[in-house]
Amino acid sequence: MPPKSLLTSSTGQENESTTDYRPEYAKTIVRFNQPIALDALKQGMSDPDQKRLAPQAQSAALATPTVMLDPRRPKLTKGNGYTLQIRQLWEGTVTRLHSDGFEARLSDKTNPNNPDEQALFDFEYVEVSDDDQRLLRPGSVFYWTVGTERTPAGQVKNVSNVEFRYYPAWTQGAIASASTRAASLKEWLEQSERIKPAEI
Amino acid sequence: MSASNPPKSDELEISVIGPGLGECLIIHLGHNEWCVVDSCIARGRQEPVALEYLKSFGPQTLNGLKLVIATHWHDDHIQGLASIVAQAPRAEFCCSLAVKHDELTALVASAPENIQGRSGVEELANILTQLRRSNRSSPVYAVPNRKLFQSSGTVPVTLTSLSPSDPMITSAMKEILKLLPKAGEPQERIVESSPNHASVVLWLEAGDTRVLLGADLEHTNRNNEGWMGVIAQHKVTPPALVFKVPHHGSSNAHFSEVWTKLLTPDPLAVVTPFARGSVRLPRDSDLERLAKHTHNLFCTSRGAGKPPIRDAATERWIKTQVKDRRVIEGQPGHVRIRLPIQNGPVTPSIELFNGAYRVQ
Repeated sequence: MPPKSLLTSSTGQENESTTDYRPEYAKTIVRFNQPIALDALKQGMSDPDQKRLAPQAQSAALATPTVMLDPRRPKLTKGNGYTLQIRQLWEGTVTRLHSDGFEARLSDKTNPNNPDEQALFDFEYVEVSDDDQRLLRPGSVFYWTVGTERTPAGQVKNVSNVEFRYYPAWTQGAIASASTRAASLKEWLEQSERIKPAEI
Repeated sequence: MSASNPPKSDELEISVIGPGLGECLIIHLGHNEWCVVDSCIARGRQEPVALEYLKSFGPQTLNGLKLVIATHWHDDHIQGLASIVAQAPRAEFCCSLAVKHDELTALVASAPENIQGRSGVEELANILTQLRRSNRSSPVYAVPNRKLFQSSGTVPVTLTSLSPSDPMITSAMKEILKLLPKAGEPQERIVESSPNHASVVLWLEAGDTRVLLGADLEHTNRNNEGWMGVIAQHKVTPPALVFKVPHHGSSNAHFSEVWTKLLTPDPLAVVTPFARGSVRLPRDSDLERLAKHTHNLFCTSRGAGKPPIRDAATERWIKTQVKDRRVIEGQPGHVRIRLPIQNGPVTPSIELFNGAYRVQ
């Protein structure tokens, strides 16, 4: 199903026209310091996508500094004179932590035909923000973007950013729900005692 | 030489496929009856290697798939197994008895609310959900000395599980406990980090031929656990001629008594690589150690090849930020062993495909 919108509102509220059906990996959030003009957001969007922008989303776009990019189609995105062109995007899953770095499995989201890679990141060279440090654990998911940033003053620099995804915490309700499923699963699993121990 | 010529009706086949991450064993038990042990998917492919291989013999081959076994839930051994189970409705699904324990059941039940993507727990959850929804039998549980398959041919073929024992499962559950979700903690993708204590080791007998399939079982140096546990519980039979080396040839899965008590001198040994993790397995030292026990050592793949080259600026960032990097998915190297199902001595034929090689 094609995406209905490339926008989310700053309040996190969604209506039908702003539901994003893209796979999770396509919902990379690139943060800018300044609000982003609607025209800039529309840049690179197809006409049908632009038409789908709900009025609420359009007003939210003016207020929010968050824009979602489709990483499979690197494009130029503007925000008050700032531009960022993403050349390469990986989705990483932390597989192991070390005292001086972490191991991760990288999936290439720019060119999904590329094979997955195993990478060892060194804390000496990779900046992980203080906020993200607490997310750094086996199983956590991050995006690694490499691109070119242009400032309003015209400065151009290559940038690399490792940003961890925030996922909702497990709630008591979700755990209770998983427990109910576990009990039901166990009941079904207990039905099987068909194979008796055999002599060999 | 083509891999797509089927075995003869009275031929035993043990195909070991390992693309660099994961492994899959496809076993012809005679008379078009098959068993698949574990699963993996080759780079750039959608279907598990087992389905591609079996379908290459004709669509009817899947009707002969009798047993699908998950030796353990780690994602390098289970990827695509749900698809195999779905496409082989006559096959029974077999897994470790550990799946019935509260800890693993709870982990599987939490899978839908964790971050999706390539998790072995997710795949296991998919398999069990599929079996339940289609009203198929619940799994056959592997425990020491449990017969999982017996052929009806004139020369008997049997497949027996040798593990996991209760102490092995208890150890495994301690590790699983650490992975269970806790209120307030963020959802995450479940990545395995635990040892493979609950792996299902298999013993195959076809006429006078014996085969030992070591899964990922490790050596813990504790009585009744790991390989010591298997040897303690295994009843004395003629030793095995063919050996699937456990845990990608790693030193922590090596127990020399396995070679002296369970295997013939100079057995046919097959190892699959594991490209993910701190160290690529098998190391050169692992191959040297294994080669001391047999002159007939085969490996399914040399590696997954070099990483793709990206534009210069991106390559510079990679070099500055990443200390070590390697491709983990490769071509499905394939070691195929065939031998007649008969009593008395047999001469196996060994064929190598897709970069599989003999270790010199």
